Amino acid sequence: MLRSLLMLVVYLSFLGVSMAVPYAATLGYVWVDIFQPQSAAYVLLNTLPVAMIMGGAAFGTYILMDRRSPPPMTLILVLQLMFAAWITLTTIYAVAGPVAWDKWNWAFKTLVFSAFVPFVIRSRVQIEALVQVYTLSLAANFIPFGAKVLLSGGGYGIGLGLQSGNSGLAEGGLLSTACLMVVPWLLHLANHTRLVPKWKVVPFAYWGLAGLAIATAVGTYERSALIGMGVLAVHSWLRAKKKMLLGVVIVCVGLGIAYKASSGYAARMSTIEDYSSEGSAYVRILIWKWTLGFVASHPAGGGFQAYVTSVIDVPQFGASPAHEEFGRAYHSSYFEVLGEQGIPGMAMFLGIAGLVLFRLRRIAREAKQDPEFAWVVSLANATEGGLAVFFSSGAFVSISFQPMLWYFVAVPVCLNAYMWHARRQAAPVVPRWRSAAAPQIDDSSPLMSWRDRRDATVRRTIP
Amino acid sequence: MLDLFGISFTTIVVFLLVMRSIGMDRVEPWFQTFKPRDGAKQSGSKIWQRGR
Repeated sequence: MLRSLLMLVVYLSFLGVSMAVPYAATLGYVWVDIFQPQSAAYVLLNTLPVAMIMGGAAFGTYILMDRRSPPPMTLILVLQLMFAAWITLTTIYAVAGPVAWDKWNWAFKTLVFSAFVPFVIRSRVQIEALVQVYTLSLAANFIPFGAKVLLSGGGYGIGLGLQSGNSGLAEGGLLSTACLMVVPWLLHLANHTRLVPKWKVVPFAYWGLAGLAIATAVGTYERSALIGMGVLAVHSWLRAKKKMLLGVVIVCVGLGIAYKASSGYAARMSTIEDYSSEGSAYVRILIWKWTLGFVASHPAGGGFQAYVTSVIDVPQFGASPAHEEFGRAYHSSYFEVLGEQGIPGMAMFLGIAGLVLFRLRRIAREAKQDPEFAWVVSLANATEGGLAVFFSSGAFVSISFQPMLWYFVAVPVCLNAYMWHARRQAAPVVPRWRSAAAPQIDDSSPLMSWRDRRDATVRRTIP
Repeated sequence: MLDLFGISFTTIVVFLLVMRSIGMDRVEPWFQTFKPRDGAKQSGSKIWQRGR
């Protein structure tokens, strides 16, 4: 009861504060989206459409009160909006019928909100607040889970987190991937946070949270998590300044996991090596083959939940006889997008992924030139690390439309916009030939474009 | 008990951080000025825009 009241007070505070500070509602939406207080509350919040109310507040307060310094329109943003439009189109003719709209409902919101975030989150403080709120909202799930794993061990399919069932963060594949993705952000915050006071204990707190996130990933017994941990270790080592020290830490953590993990964990991980001897792994190969055949006959995709039409012949495994299996899920983010959104959707998805990774490299390289922008370099590298985890672990879990990925797409767009504004602050102003040739006009003139009039207003109001 | 701790701790910290961010965001300039160490090595070296 008390925790329900606490969450209700915080929820209402987000709404109340957003009336004066519009970006608070966006942070509130991230909190609702990742933490999902409605599923942990016993009164009121569990009966209200909390995400819809907060999302409405985020859009409404932005449009009415705060449209300063919009980000430059980039190909990533355009592709995100095109992808949102495309998933709507494929849902209209989805082979699964009306059930496809259930997934469209949250996937569409995720994509649109991800494209909206860079319009609201602009300053350094706001970007850090977004990263902090996302990280801590996820931490609500992995703090108890990781602590339970350290105390009593984990297990495949055992629900130790806040949510129950087999969807969202209750599903081990998504939880482990999300936890590993957030580790680089936690390590970034340990060094570069400005919102948390500079106490000596602060870096240790973030490192402790990173440890709990890794313990959670291990405790889910997901094989995709092992791949994600490997990619995370390699990426962190490549981007580290103190490679020797980090190498020792990585080896120690690896040895610790190998020592503490049970024989059940080792047995499950060993099935990665020989997929044909293990039913679950081999069925994935079969469903991926089916998806390729499905896309050959449906190049524009089958819409959301197209996998329900799948039929695969599963050979005999041990005591399990050969049988036909219907409606097997994709078990891969790439095949999920390919099967549901077809070749155009896959092209957009890979285009977004490639552009985001390319942009992060460019941002980090450019920001390195100014020591004041060390936090940008660190956050760009951390986000790249999180995405590397997603694009490796996600190859074995169907989570391509989950918000975890799309917040990691939104942050690079925010960073890119930040660098764009920072360059403009420093750049010498050179009038265009057109404005140089044209007579000077005052701000109130109808000849002035809306964008110039807006910029002039902002210049007047901000000293 | 661990669940309760996880929920309460993160909820309170999120709330405090958002409040602190609001305070800092009001007093700090939104954007730093980018000064590359090795001079203006930006694309095109100048940004073409109307007078600011």
